Amino acid sequence: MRVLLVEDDAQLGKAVQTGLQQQGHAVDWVRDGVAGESAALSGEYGAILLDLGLPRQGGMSLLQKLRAAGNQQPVLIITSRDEVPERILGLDAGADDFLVKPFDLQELGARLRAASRRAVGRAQTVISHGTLVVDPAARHVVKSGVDVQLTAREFALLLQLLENRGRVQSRTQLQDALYSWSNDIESNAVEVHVHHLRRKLGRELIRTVHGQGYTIDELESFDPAHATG
Amino acid sequence: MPPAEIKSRWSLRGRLLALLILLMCLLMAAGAAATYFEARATSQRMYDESMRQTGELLLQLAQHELEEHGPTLGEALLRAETLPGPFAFRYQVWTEDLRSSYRTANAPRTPMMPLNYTGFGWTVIDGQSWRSYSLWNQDHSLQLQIAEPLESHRGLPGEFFWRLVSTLAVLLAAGGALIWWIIAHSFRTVRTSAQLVAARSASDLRPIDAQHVPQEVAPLLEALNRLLERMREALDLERHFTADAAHELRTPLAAIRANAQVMQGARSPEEFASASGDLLTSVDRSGRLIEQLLAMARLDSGTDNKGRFTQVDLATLVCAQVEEQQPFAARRQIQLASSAATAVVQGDRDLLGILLRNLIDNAIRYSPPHTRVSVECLQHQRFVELRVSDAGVGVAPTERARIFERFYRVSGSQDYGSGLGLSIVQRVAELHGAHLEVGSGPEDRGLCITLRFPGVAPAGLSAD
Repeated sequence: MRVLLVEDDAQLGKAVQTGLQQQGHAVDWVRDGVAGESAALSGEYGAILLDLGLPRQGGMSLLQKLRAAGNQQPVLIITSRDEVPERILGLDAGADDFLVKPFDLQELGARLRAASRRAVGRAQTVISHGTLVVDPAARHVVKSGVDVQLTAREFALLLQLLENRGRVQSRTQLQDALYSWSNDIESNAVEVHVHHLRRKLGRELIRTVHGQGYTIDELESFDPAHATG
Repeated sequence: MPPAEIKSRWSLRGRLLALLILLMCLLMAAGAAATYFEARATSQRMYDESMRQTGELLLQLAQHELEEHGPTLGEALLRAETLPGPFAFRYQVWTEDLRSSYRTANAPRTPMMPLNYTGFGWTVIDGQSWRSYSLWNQDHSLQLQIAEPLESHRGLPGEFFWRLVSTLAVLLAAGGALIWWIIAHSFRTVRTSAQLVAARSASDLRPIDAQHVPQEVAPLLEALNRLLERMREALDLERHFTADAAHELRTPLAAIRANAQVMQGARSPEEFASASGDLLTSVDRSGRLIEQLLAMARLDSGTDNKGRFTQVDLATLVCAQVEEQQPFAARRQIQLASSAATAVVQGDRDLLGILLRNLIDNAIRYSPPHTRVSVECLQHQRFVELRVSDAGVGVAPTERARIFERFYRVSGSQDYGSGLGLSIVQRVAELHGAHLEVGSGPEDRGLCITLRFPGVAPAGLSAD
């Protein structure tokens, strides 16, 4: 998942960025409210991590502008103020979740997954697709009852396609989901990851739409014959 | 407070009640005594008057008898015996030569009073005190002496006295009860106020209603309310400070935690090394913040620092602090310079050290590399001037007043000071009666903080 981190504290920002990268996310980090606003409005993020005490523009004001502009990206507030009125204010302003400093990076990851799950309208924590079962929390993939080992990028790509089943994802979209601004991207990186996924999970899972990108088709129904075939 | 202490304390109400009732008793006793003596004197006058009239009448009668019948004593005596009424008179009528007399049978045979004595007098008959009256007839040939036992006079004022006393006793009882009630009623507002104060919980610092209390109690309650107000302000300040402090500590703490977790999940030695470096930085930051918080708390609680004031040479402190901060300045590629000549102020050496450290640290922290931070210390005629200036980004004039606020940081600043440094500087300056001024540094760049301490003559030259 691609995450936007808006945090002014150098040490905390860097640690959260690295920590989320370790969990397989692509993290863009900006240090003030104004940069945060332009980044949030111009990018497609799986979730936005927002500190409240920001220079140039407070996090709450950023959030309100974002929601006023009709932007529905999930927003998680990270704050050092844990009073109830503050939480109410944040949630009412359109935040999806609230995390008080100091927090656990694993918990942050779990809340990010939950927020993005809610954003795509999925209640189950595990994604099933035919014989394929993907657990985003455990970053665990099972194909026909057999564990499959994926790299962080392969996993992120698979998740991005599964969460947008039936919709064609352009190469740029997929690239954005996998890489933050700081990463050097090789021009054929997405193709390489798709190639590896097909090798590990079967050729038929990811369909190439020529000139547009890639997609995983929605299954017709829960027809067992189809599912096992 | 121990209850014994309360017991031994005198009660305004009790004292007032006792004194008023005592006063009432005294007044009533005095009134009763005055009334009794007045009544006795009045009754004496009345008895005297009636005795005089009786005497005059009897003298006329006796003279008449004498003129008509000659000196037939027995008859006159009989007349005298039959005097009617409650009168206990005895009388004698004497001729000038004492040869004959009329008298009542129970009257002594000798004159009750010497003949040369006229008017009212006292005499003793049969061991008892008698009131007497003597008078001559017109040609001084007959003297009448009339006497009455004092005992017969006492009955009336005595009876009057006891009636008066019993009436006063009833009045006293009623008056005492009334006084008690009035005092109890008047003091109820005091007790109500006391109960209002006593019922307060320690955290409830709202003012106590002083609207419906008497003039005498109101100043006490108003003083108490002012105290409560000051306590509330102090408590609010402290509460804010604690909240802010907790808030400020959370961010470095979050960074410490996150870095520790990044180290656990490090994918490369480089990532591990970088995170551990950041972890140390965050720990140092927390440590510094805690140090500053403690300094601030100490400054807040220390109100009697003046007792520890001695004469301090600011110049030596400046040299020591500049020396101490040189490595930090060098790391940041800041040229730290000082110029100081002996400048003596009255103050606390440790606090002044903290003030200097914070001023210099702040200047270095907010200066770009390859600039200069200068510390100057000047002894003027009447004051000592301390000036710390840098060539950093400075502070907009509109923001200058705010830089002394706790946890305020210049917006957009990349460095992470505790946000307390200048608050501490301000507090120490305040404790030393120093004037604090914020301006621009050299060539209108950066920030220059000037402190003016009240000057003192160097030790040895001054008597005080």
